[in-house]
Amino acid sequence: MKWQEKYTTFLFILPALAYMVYFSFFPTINAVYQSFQTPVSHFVPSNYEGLMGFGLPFAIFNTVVISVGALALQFALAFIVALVLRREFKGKGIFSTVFLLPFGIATVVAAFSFTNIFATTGGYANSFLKVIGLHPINWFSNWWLDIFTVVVSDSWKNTPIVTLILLAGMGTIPDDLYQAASVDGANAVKRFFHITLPNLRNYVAIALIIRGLSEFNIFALPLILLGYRPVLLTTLTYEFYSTTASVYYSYASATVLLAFILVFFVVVMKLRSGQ
Amino acid sequence: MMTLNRYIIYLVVSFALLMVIFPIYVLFLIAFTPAKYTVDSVFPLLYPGGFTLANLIVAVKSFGLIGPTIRSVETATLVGSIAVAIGLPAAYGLNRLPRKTANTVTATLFLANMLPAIVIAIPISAEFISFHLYGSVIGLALAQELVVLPLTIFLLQGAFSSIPRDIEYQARVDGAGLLRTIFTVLAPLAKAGVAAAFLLSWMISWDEFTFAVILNPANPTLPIIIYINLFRGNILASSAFALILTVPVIVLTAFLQRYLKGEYLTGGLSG
Amino acid sequence: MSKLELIGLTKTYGQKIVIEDLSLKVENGEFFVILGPSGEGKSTLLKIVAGIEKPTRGSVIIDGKDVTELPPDKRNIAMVFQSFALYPNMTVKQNIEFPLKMRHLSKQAIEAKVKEALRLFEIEDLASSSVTKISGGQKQRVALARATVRDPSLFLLDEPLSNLDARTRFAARGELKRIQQTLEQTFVYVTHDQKEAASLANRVGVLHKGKFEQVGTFDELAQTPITKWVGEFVGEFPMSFLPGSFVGLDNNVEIGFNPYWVTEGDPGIECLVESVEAIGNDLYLFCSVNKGDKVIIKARAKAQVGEKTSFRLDRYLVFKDGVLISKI
Repeated sequence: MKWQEKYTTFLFILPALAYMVYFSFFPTINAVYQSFQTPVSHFVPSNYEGLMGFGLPFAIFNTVVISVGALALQFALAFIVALVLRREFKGKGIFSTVFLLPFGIATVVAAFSFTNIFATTGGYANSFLKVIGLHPINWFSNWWLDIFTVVVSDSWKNTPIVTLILLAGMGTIPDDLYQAASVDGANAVKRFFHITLPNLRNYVAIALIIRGLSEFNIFALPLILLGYRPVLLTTLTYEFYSTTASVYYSYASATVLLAFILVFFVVVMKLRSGQ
Repeated sequence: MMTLNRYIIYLVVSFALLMVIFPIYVLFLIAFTPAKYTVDSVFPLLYPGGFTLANLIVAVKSFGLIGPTIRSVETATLVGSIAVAIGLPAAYGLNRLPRKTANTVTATLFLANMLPAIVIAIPISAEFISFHLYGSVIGLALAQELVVLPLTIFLLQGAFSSIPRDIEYQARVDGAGLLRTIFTVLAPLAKAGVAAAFLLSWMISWDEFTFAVILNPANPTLPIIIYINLFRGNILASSAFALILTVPVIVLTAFLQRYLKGEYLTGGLSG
Repeated sequence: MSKLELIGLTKTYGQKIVIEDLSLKVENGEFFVILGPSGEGKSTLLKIVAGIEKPTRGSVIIDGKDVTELPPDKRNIAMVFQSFALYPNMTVKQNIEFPLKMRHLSKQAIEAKVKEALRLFEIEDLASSSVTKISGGQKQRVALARATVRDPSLFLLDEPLSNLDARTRFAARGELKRIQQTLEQTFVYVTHDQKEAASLANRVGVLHKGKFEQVGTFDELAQTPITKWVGEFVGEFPMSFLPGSFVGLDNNVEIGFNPYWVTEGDPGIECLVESVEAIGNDLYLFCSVNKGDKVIIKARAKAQVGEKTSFRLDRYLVFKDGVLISKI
């Protein structure tokens, strides 16, 4: 009986595992394979060569910049909010509920709101600037502002997740560590850098992986806020999928994206285990 | 503990609340005030200039609200049901497997979850066309399942592991077989977790964009209809759709708050 | 035929050996206590008997039937866990009914048995209460009621008193003994508590390093430990040990004695009082002999810390390499 139960346990997991593996690994491998095909030839890099002419290096550069920018902003904000949420204060319950709302709100809806906030005419950001006596800005007039609007919108949506993960990590640090440190004369700032941060290393790495990988995949927000320019790896992929005849270009672009994600994953895992 | 000054706490809290609420406020503002105060003005009013239901009524009448809404509800419900049906036994099984094997399974699930939707969606769309699943609710649900299934499993694993092992042993000693133990003893004890897993999957599917835009552009769900209308410049119509998309989500997020713990979001990686 | 028989049980987790080649026979109607400090595999052993854990080697035989490969629900045993493991979503009555329902008894039979169990444990008033809202002592009664409501071959109890406060525990101990005698059933009971073993057990097995170091009545263990380890572990005070030379023996043997096997007074072995403990009317001295060996002796009169005193041994045991070789 026991012997059979061991197999029952595995049978319980099998559907989920098979499902995930079949529907994600198989298409992924297929995409990589297709990226080296053209209607006339097999195993050639011509799709990649073609993509170079459509701004592939720029797409890579923009994707990396947005990812790094968004991660930096989200972690900075999340640390501040997580530290606040570790304290008791009046209205904490309501605050944590409201703070979590962007997590549930659809990316498309976030994009809708931020489109209207950053709109050049009829935009709420400019209304606000006018009220406080500043000049309105054309938010999509240059590359810096393009990147900025996406980073801000994305951080609005995703800071709550990072905060939750950091909070979970802070919950694992025993209080007596802090008490011991304050007895030893460490002030709040020193305690943060010498106790909170080092003890959170594992959770920071996890949040970095989860968010970092999602940042590379950022799609709906730039598609709606920016359209296809400045180009990102995801919007480049989608552009070739939805608007041109050569779907093979989109496979090539998707493969580049995949490569970046794998490299990022490996690097963070190495850093996490190496320290 | 950090000794943060009380004033600093309230300063941070107020600022954060303002930042979080403002975009949601903008959505409600556009949806419920006459266009002349919002999208039709160069500098829209930061406060409600008036109140109208006209925007919503126009959207319902002329932009086909019903079809996408029903499609979204169907897809999300299907995604949530499949997630619980497959995820519940998997979560129990994962808790029972030897640590090493369980970690391997978790890592595989996690990795599969991390593969970009856009990379997966394009080859899948070709497959679905040949299986007549392209553009269908079932096809979309099957694809979105990839996004929610690992999260569901990790959440249910948490719900199961908060039940003391002794209870399970006791049920076995009391004469219940393995399946009976799971369904008559463990599942009722984890029912809050099961409900949370269903609702979370439901919500993620309800919001999902990438698979929906690639697999079902012709039979759009709500997020896609918002995108299409934004793309065409129908801001008022998309505000109505965005509102319908958002209201249930606000309720759900508030309800799910206590299950949205960092521990589950990190999956098996935190162990 | 023995009620329970364990033959050559071994349980390993990877490299770690928890139970090693353990054998035991428990007779019908016996109250058998497995005693040992925490981490010695007591609970693992009980779980193997219950079928929750599977032994790496060896067999479990209940009523002459080899049940080693059977899951818990096919073994006809009852078990009370340290945590009581009450089903938190059920009432007291539903908890007690559960094992009967799993056995598909008729409604009337279940009703009658549950009523009887509620009466036996004096918890009729609690029948419809939620088990999350009752006291520790009441939980223990419910757990026992649930275990006894059917007619199992064997009762397994894993430290069922350790989650109770001191007063409730004392009362519960007496009640447990009464129940076992009323039911005339076989109990296998795991504890780390000497007092429970002393007051409940017909026989005690002392578990150490995955084996029974000694099996016998509690008095046998306390008076005649067959190893030095048992001497140090069993009894109100650990046995004291001194090199053989103190009684004119070779130094490759050790002598062991209980505090009340000595008479204080000259001439004798000299020692320095390091602390004094009063238990009831008796006074015990913790002394050091030759600055090194610590001994515990029962005092005749008041003594101060830092004083010197001396004692004679009325009886003692001789151990060689940690094993009893003679009794003097």
